[in-house]
Amino acid sequence: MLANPLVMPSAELNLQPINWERATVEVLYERILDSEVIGMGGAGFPTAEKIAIARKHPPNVVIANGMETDPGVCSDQVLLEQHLQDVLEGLRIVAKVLDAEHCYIALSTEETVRSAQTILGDKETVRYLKPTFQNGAERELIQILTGHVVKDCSFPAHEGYVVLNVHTLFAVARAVSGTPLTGRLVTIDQDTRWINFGTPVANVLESDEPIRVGCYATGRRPQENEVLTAEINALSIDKSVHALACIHCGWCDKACPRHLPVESLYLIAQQQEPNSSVQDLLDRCNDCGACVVACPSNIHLLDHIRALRQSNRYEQERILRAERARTRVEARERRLHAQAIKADNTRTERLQQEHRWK
Amino acid sequence: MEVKDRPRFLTTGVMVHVVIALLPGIGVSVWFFGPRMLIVLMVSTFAAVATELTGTRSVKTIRDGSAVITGMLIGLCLPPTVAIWVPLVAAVSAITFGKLIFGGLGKNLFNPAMVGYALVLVAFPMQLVYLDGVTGATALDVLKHRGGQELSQFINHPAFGVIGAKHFEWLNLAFLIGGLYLVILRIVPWILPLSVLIGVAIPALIFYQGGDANSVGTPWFHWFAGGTMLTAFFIATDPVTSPSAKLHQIVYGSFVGSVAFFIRCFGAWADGFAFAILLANAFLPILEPKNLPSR
Repeated sequence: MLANPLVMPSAELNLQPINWERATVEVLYERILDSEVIGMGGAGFPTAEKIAIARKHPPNVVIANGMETDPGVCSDQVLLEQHLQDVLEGLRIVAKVLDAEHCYIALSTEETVRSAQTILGDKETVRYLKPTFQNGAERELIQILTGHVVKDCSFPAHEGYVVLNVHTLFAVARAVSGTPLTGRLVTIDQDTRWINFGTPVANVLESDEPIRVGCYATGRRPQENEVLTAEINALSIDKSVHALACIHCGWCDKACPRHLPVESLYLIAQQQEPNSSVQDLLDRCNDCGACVVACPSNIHLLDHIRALRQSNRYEQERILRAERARTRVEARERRLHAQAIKADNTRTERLQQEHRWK
Repeated sequence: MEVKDRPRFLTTGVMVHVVIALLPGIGVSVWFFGPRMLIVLMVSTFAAVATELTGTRSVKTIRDGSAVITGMLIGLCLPPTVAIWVPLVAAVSAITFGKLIFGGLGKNLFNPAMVGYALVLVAFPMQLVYLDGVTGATALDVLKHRGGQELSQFINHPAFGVIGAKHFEWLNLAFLIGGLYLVILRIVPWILPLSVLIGVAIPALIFYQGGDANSVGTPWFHWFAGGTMLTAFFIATDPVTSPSAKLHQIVYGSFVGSVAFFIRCFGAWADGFAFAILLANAFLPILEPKNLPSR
C-alpha cells in the first residue's frame, strides 16, 4: 500500500516508548533510522547510516564526544549539566546496537566526569580531556582514547569507530523513549537557550548586526531565509564586518594548534588567485578557528583560508577538465588520422587492382 | 569552549595603551623642555590624523589609532626649539610616504614615524639641533666633538647628568617605565626592547676601552642618552614593521641597537636610531618573508 501523501510523516511513526534494555537490536536500529537522528555536532551525518557502516567493520568502538571545540560555545556543556542521564542512556543504546567492544565518553569538566562516573558506576568509560582546539576533533579523539590512528583517506566509521556528539546521543535516547527532539540547545552570543527546529535564524538574535551560523570563529554566513536545523549549535554576531587592518602582530601564527603560517596564508589569500604551493598547508588546517579568536583586528582569517582552498579546488578542477579535453582531442585526432590512412590504403589497393585488370 | 591564550586587547585597545604609556615621557619632556613641546606634539598629531583622513577619505582607519601614535612619536623625536612647520612637514610626509603610498596600515614597509623624522632630519638639519639656553649641546654631541680628551676629564661637563645625558636620562627613564607598562600588559614582546638594549650595550662595552681618549662612553650612558628607550620600547616594537618570530626579533632588535650605536658614535648625526630603524625595516622582508613562494 502506498503511503498517503496527506498524512503527516511523523504521525506514521510508531512512537511507542521502547524499553531499550529488553528490546532487540533490530527494533532499536529501526527506531533510530525512522526518527531520522542526525549528527548534531555540526556535520549532520545520519546516525543510522553511521551505525550501519560501523556494524560491518569491527572493532566497534563508540565514543561520546562531550568536548566542546568551538570557541565560545557551551551548548554541549549545558546539555551535559541538565541531561547527563539521557546522554549516557543514549551511549548505552548505541553501544548495544553496535554490540560495541568499548565505549567511552570524553568530557572536559571535572564536575561532569564525577557525575557521569556515579551514574555509570564505571571509571573506565568516562574520560577527562583538557579542553583544547584539537581534543574535540574526531580523529584526534579516537587517537587519544584508543591509540588507533584513522587513515587520512578513510573515515572513522569505516574502521569501526563511531564518534557521536552528546547531543546526538541525547536525541537517540529521546527517540527510543518515544519523544523525539523538536528543538535543541543553541548558544546565542554567550547565552545558551532551547530553540525549536525551524525557527528562522534571523529572528533568533534580536539585533541588526550581521550573524554567523555556528560560532563566530568557525561559523559561516547564513543563507537566505535559513532556519534552525539539528546540526546548528550556535548563532553569533559577526564581528568581522568591523575588521581593521592586519598589523602583522603574529598572534594568529602563535595561536594555531597545528603551527601553520596563518598570516602568510592570509596574505596569499588576499591575492585572490589560486596557489597550489600552499595546498598541503591548507589540507592540514582543520578549521578550528583558533586564529580567528586570536586576531586583535577582528579579521576572519578562516574565511580567507576557506576562500583560498575553494579557489584552489576550482583551479584543480579546471586543470583536470583541460587535461581530459586534451586527451579527448588527441584521441580523436589519432582516430581520424588512422581512418585517413586506412581510406588511403584501400584507395591505393583499389587503384592497383583496376590497373591490373587493364 | 573557553579560550585562554589570546591577545588581551584589540588593535584599537593596543593603541590606547600605547598612548597611556607615552604619557610619563611626555610629562618629563614638557617639564624639562617647556610647554612648547606640547604645541609641537599637538601639531604633529593633528597633522598626522588630518593627513590620514584626507588620504583615505574615511573615518574607519582613524579608529585603529595608528595615525595618532605616528604623530605623537614624531613630536617626541623633535627638539622643542623647532620651527612649528617642521612637525607639520614631518607628520604629513610620514603618513603620506610612510604609510598611504604603500596602501595603508599593515602594508607599509617602513615605520611611518621614522620616515617623517628622517626626512626632516636630512632636509632641515639645523632645525633639529638642540641649541639654546634651555638644553645646551647634548651629551652625545659633546662626546663626539671632545678632541681627544679622556672620558674622566669632561664627565662633569654640564651636558652630562647622573648616569646618562642631562635631562635625557630622565626622559629615557620615563619611556622605560612606560615601556615596562606595555611589556607587563603583553602588548609589547619583552624580547624585542631587550635585544635593542643589548644591541646597544655590546658594542658600547667593546668600544669603552676603559675610558681612554678613544672611549665612546659606558653602556648605561648610551642607554640613558638620546632616544634609546623611546626607540627600544615604542618604535622598534611597531608590529607592522617588526618581525613576529622570537629569533627574528632578537636579530632585528640587536641590529637596530648596534647600528644606532655606530651612527651616534662615529656617524655624522647626533643620534642614529631613525636610520637604524629604517635600515632594519628594509632588511625585514629578507629576515622574515611574509609571502610564501607564490606558485
